[in-house]
Amino acid sequence: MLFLRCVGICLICLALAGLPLLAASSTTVAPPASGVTSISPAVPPAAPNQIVPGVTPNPANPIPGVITPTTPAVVPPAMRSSAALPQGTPLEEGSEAEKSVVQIFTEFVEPNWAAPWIFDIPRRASGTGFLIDGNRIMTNAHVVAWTSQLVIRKYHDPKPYFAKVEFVAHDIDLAVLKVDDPDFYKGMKPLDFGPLPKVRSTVVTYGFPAGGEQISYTRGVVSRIEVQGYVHIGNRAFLAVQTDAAINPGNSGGPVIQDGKVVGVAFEGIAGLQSTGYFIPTVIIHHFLDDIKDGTYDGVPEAGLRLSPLQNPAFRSMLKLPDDSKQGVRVDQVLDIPTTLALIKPNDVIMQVGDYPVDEDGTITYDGNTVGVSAAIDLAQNGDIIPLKIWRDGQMIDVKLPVKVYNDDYAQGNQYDVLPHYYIYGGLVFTPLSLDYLKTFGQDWSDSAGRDLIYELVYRHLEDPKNWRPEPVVLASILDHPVNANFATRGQAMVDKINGVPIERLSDVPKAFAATTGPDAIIEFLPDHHFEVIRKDDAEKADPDILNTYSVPAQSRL
Amino acid sequence: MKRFFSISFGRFPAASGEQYFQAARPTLSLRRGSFIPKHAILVALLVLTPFLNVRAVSHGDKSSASDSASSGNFAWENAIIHIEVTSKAYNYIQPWERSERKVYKSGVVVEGHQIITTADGVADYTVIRLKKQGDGGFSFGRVLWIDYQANLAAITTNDALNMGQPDFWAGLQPAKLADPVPISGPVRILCWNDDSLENRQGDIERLTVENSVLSFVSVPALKIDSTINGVGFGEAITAGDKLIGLACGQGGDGITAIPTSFIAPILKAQEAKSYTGLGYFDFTWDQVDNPLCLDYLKLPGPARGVIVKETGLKPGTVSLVHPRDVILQIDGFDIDAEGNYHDPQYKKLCLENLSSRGKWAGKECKMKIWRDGKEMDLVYKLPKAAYGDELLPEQSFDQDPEYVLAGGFVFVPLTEAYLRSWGPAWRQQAPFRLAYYDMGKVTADRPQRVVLTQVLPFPANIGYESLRNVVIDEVNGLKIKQISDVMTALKSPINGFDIFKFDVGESAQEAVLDASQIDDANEQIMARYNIPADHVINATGAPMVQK
Repeated sequence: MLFLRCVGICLICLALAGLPLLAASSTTVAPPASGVTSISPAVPPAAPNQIVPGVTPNPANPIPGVITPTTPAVVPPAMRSSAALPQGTPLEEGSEAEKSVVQIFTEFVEPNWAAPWIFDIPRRASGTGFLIDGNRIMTNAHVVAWTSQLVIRKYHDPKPYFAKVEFVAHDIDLAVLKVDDPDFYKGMKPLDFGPLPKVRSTVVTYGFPAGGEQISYTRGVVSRIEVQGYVHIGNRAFLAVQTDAAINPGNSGGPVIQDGKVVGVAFEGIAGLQSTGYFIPTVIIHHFLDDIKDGTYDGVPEAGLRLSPLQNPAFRSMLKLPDDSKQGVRVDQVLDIPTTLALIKPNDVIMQVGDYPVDEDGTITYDGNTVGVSAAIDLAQNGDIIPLKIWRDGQMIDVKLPVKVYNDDYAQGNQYDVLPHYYIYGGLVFTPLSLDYLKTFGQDWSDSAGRDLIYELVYRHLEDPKNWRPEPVVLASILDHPVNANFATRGQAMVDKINGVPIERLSDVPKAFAATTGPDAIIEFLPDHHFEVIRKDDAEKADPDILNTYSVPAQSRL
Repeated sequence: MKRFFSISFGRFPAASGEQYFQAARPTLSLRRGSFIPKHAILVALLVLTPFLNVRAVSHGDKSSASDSASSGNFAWENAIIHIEVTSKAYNYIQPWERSERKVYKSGVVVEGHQIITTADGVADYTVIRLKKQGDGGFSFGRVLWIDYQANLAAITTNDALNMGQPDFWAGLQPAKLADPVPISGPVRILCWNDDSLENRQGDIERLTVENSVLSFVSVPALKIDSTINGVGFGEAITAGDKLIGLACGQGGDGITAIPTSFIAPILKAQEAKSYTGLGYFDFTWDQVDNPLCLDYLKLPGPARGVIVKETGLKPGTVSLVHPRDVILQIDGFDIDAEGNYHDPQYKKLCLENLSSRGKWAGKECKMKIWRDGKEMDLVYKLPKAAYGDELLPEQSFDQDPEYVLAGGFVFVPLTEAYLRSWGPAWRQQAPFRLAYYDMGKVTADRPQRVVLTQVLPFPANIGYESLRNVVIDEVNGLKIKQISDVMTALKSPINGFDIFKFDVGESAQEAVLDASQIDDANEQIMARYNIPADHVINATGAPMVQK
């Protein structure tokens, strides 16, 4: 599996004293573990002996050596005289792009995934955005995730403007905002988008990174263009452009400019590597803008193919590929997507995706760059049909593969903006199993989380699809009360059945309890079929009391 | 003097040491600052250092005359034996490698020219040497019997190797084994330290039941508090002139010893040749914390018994015990809600003790159980404990690591020994999916997992060099149940190809090699990595011949 793990630092600035900057990940970009590429999702569900990307900062664990500015939301007028502004030769002669670049301040509140009626302390962060067509401010999704208030500061304008998220795409880490106040848009021109820049060509970032309060510019070259992990969601990888232009916390969401046009949105970096920043290229940006034309963001569709480079001559020979051919990547496994299963088999060799011939190492040539073949698949929109040329049984065949957005693995990525679901019964707190839930176990969650939970979340679907549950449920904790005091299992346990009813998703839980025949409800756990019993009447009588004692506003959020 | 320079662990007999110093000045008292030839000291240190005892020598707490370890005609000096075991050490990641290790243990003489000790450290031995009464040379020993599940071994002399030596057993006295053992009070811990018998005080904390050191079976264990450290290698735990245990471990909770109440019946059965090995209860159970669980199972009355969870853990057997049975009584002993019974000698003990309380594999336990709202009698036959009962076998003793090497692909059976290459925290450090197999179950169609651990690179296997730790499902259409199946499958390539299929969900599902290129690859890889031929498979699936 070409596990394109990006050590991503989502680059917003955490602007509360003492809080560390958001450092999302610490896995290193590694060569493929076994040479298998996937056509998205290229990043595996967080395998537990690799460190999880997208971990939210732990205030108790600041990242050393990183500046933590305390940028106030509003700059006092005294600091805004033009004499204090940096002068110097503009890097883009005649460009006024900076007038369209804004600083975005977010107040955000994250929920507690283990006790989902509780919210963490409100925090503040900042990033960058820029004006595009349609009176929209484009930025990263991770700048606006979980926001409760967005304030925008314009170039040379002291007034704070309130903004709202219009559309957000957590998979490709983009968002567009709208400002109600029409004054906001005066004096700003929307920036145009440019093409995919060439490697070695110069780009300039515009943004508000750490190290000061005014707009800041850095310049570098395009170092590399490849499919990379998008750390915000964690289990997806898309085309990304690497640059040595300094991209630092606070730059997130800002434009990367070449020849006066936007060629990307700065969004990620790698801790520990020098001069390695990433921006989202315009092909991805256009995918987003096209997607939202119909009023909803659907997402980038998934073909459902795990691919493996086909470089071994014996394998190529067995699959009857011509000796002199260097093309074709092998289908290693097909996910349980019915339309794909119907059309493609393991050991099919993908020779071409759309207009792109595929080389034996799983790459295509995209605008002069060698990139993973998934970049070609990612050009499709939800519901599109991708023409493929496939080699099967010694012959080339044409396959038209319909692709849709795939969300079955959403719990294996980081989740945003939808509050976690839960259900409480007799003080027993049930919530769906997810990566976000496992992260509540701490930084080293992969060491301390129940291994059964990790297996269920990460491995079950691929290994044992017949027994896979769409939304495995855990007993996350117990709110202590005499009615549940005797339970030996008190949390972090996978629920198998309630009253004999297999629990496939959280909404099964209240139904199963309602189906209690007799005085007692029985809850069975995996993996060893330990069971607990609770008295139905006592539990239901106790619930209002329990919710009151623990200040839980509602019994459920389903 | 002799004591200071004595080379007590005997590679060089003391005599030669003394000869050495006779070459120098006769008075060798350091206090008087006499000249000691430098090279003599160097030699002493060189010889001594490798044989420094595993544990620190503690100087406190010497026995007083009144606590003498001997009484009557019996003297412990004549019953404790120092044992040196040299054994093969393996590398499970490069399974063709060999090294050796030495372990120093202690044993106790018992009737019949036997020395009993713990089994720990004896596996895969090449040489056993015995030293008695703290002096003299070593004699060669051999294992009479060894039971890894029980962590016990009986050693005797290797007469063939000791030809011409004086009788090892002369002057030795067999110890008496206490049965029952005390569960409180003072004890003495004895073992040889150089040529003096270290004799240290200990206090029995309690008798409990826990996993045997080398196995999943439950055995009784004496917990002893003492200031001695570095024990756990068969040191004698004594009370007066009776042996009450053999030390098998030392940790945060004190010293653990195998009680003689457990050892004595095994010795007896071994001699009578009626010992069938330890049995175990092949089911898991929960104590009753939540009385409503019994309510649900329609068991009226006070909370008692334990609730059965998973059954049939002994592969190939049909379990008479079912999940959700409540075990009320075993062999006449009532089981309480914590899973304990009242032992006539040892008070409250975990019910697991009843799987080895004077009983062996194949023997029956009478159980009273509660099932479907009624009480039932059940005769439970104890299955024999074996490492192969677990999908991830805990130990792989007395055998070289198994592996098959073909075309650069290295296959090994998945064992805990392999995963322990990642260290004691292997459950967190080893590849998750492999480590998670310790939760898996043996089934008839898949009693074992076989893993492709690495690919030794060679042009014929280009493209697979990053394959690592993937479980193999099938080779050339043959399902792989055990490692020898890989050898069998490689005898029958399909149209000239060897086709390897891995488990669903692994990082790669399939790999193909040209069967005709295997021999060439094997030869070069053997030469490069110094791998003996017998585990390397050629194109016909037969072991290669070493050239």
